[in-house]
Amino acid sequence: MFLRIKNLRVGYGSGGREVEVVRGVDLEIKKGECLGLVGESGCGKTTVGLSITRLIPAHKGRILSGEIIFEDRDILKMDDGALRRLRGDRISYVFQEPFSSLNPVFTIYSQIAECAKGAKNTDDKIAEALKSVGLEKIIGKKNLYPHELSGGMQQRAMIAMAIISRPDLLVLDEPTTALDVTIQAQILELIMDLKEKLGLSILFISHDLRTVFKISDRIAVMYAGVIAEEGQSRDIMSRPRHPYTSGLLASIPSFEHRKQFFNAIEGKAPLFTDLSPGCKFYPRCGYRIDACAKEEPAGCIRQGELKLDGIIKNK
Amino acid sequence: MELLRINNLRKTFPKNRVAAIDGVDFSVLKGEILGLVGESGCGKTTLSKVMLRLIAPDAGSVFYKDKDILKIPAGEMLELRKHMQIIFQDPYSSLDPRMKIGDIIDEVYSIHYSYSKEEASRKKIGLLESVGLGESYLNRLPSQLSGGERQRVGIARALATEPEFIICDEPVSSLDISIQAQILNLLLNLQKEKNLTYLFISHDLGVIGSLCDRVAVMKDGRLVELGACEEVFRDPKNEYTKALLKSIGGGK
Repeated sequence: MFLRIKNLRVGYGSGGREVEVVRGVDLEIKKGECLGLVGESGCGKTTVGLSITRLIPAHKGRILSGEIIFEDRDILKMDDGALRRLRGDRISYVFQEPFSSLNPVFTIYSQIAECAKGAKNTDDKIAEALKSVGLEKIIGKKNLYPHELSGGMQQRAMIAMAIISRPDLLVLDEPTTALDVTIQAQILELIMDLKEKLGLSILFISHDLRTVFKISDRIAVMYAGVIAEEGQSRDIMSRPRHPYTSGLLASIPSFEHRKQFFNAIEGKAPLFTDLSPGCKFYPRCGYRIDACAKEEPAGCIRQGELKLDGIIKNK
Repeated sequence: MELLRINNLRKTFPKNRVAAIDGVDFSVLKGEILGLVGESGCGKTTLSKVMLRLIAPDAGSVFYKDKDILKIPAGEMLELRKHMQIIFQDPYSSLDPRMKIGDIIDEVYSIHYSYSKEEASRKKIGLLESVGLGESYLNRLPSQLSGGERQRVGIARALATEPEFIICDEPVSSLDISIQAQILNLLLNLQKEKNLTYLFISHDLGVIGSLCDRVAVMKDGRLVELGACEEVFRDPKNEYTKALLKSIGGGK
């Protein structure tokens, strides 16, 4: 197994007011696979992504318990030196807004060069990375600043920085959310292309099920700090087993379902400071029974018994 | 029946010599939801602002019923503003963080009506209830509300003057998908109930396709396609529309 997250728990805040926001997450990513992690804002998906290389700022929170096994070693037990060799080199990140990820006062070239530090032929390496992300146009242009590039080009530059050290795992946190739809499609295509060419494994974090479906082999759906359900992408989209997944799918507006959002999930996600016992989706669930309020299941206790709607028809 | 008619509208901002709106003609029919779709920077928001006389265009006219709203005196325009309202994209920046929800609505009332205190209070509660909030929200601050609740306040504020026509400028773009569906549901129900006319601006073709009767596609300040939603989605004529539709295509 390439990457395995076991019973990960993360808390934010300090002292007596520490709040658990990742409440026992198990995930696996196989070599060369893309796992989509989908959920709404505040569900803990970004925190899971950051935890993989222990990037949660110490003043904000900490990993409470769990294991993150990367090629037989537990990242949570590594010393600083080993962790440093992992970050950027073996595991790298691309975040949502390219414009705020890039430093506006340094040239694009110098920022990419920083990621290639220690390499021999820096210029060649940068040219190669730029080429592989479709930025041939700016090869050799050392005086370009981030504001001179469009959003799509900036995100390509971010991806170039992420892949220049030939990492094994790429964590992409909403990499297309801030971009226009046609540019989104291009960036997704680029990512899929790089995955094939470089044999990358990918954790793709997004709130958008449509995007996640396009790119992922498997999908994990997260709600209130736990994984509600996980499965092959097609199964999740056609035969969801958790009412939350089904509700999310029904909430996606589309031309095929004109003027009807009747299955929209009511209410809002619970606050982490105020979680009730039992299934955390209980208050919003259309299929709840009394037993759901008593204990917190992994997944849905009515799994198998319920017949839930997906949005892709089985053939 | 035509509610609004836009003729040959043009607007170039002095700084960047490219036209933000480059000769746009269309009309909005009473009771319809007209979608306006296009990517960032194509001019959709500029167009909506000109339609409400929030920005003056360089050329062209905007007729609301039979009045050219760009030519009428300010007093008459103020009266007309009751009928034409707008819901903004970002419910975080469109509500004054220091005003309580009740005061936000009161501000609208103080501009357009002279209600007594009791009357205003009764109306406010009714208004909040119509958007799925209640009396308990009157004394809260925007910071105490979630994104979906804030957008409901934005909708209530637009409905406060009982308008006929509302421009919805990306009203769900910053919301989570489950909350987005709730707000779209609310907007659809209000439209049916009050026989409202919407100009619904979005970059999300899924939202446009699910909601609108007709759709206008905008690119580089021009309308490149306008037609019934069914026709445009099934059989797009313009290359750009085709590219847009292709980019949202699901499946693998």
